[in-house]
Amino acid sequence: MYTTAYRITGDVEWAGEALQDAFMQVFKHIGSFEQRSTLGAWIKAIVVRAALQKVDRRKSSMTSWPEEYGDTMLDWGTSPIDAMQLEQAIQRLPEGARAVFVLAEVEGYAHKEIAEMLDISEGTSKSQLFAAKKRLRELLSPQMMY
Amino acid sequence: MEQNRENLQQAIRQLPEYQPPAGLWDTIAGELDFDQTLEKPLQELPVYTPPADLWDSLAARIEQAPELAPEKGIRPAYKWLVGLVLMALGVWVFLPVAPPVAPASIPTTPAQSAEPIALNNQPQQIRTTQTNNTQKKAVKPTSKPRLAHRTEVVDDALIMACRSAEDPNYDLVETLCKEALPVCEEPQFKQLKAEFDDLTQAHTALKNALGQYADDPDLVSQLIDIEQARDQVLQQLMAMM
Repeated sequence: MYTTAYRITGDVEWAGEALQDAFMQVFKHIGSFEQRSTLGAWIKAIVVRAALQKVDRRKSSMTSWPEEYGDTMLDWGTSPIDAMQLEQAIQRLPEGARAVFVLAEVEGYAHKEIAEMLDISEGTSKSQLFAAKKRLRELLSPQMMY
Repeated sequence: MEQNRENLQQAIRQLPEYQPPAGLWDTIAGELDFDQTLEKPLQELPVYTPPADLWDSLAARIEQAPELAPEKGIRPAYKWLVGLVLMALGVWVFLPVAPPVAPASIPTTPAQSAEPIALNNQPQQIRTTQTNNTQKKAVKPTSKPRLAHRTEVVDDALIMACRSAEDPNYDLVETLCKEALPVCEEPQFKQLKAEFDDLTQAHTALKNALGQYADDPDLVSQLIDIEQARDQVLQQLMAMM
């Protein structure tokens, strides 16, 4: 949970505050858990939302992203990607694109779920994910072999 | 389109995990304790009662406010009830004065009967045939039927209870709605309030009739039915507030 919060916020202090806010909500509203998902998934969604609230600039950073990557082919290279370098690259992404990438690729949320969490359209979620991947590939390209 | 996507997925699976600061859970536990500490005294905060003359002032204001008078007209939902009441009144008023015959199956007690009922000694052989609303004829092939009547006496306390159906709670509802409570504007609340007004009109009409014929059990029964319906509606109104 903390890792998710940190990866979304990109800040240790914000991650701690988000986790704290999230668990306060969990303890206060545990009675309203309707078992439509697992308890873990329910708590994680609350943590994600709390982390997103800390990154309140996500919408402005999303609108600043160009969306002309539609026909671009992304190639992740033939050699393994170093996880620590990937982590550093993720943290260099703009906040909005980073949140979408973490939620989609790391946490496994669907674009519909991401759109609801971030209050954006599914199309925006998809374009932000593609933009994030494009930027990651650029950041990782010095070590990539093709 | 992505090529070599498995390389990205492999790196994602190897991303590092992070641990929260050591004191974070203590902080959360401390906040929960604080909330729980605050919860009990919040529930035990003192309750204050208004000055004794407030309700008198309120009642005086209500009486002086013409807009608080009940609305005219009958809502469709209770037209049937008002109709039943009026029909019962009409039937009662125009009843021919004839002593009814007590059915053989109804036992009577001295408190209910002005005279004891003397029926045939073989009630299982008696068939009753209703000829109209007021008379029943006991038919026995081999013997002459014997007629009897009874007068049902209504308990005075019951009548008084029906007559004293004032509603201070409804006055409170009206007064609070004058303060523009949001709930008063909800359609369901308005509908309930209109139903209550209709029932009040029916109640008043029936009570006036009962003032002249206070010993009629049918009218008293109708009045009790209306009282119960009013109470239910009033309880719903109070619950919504």
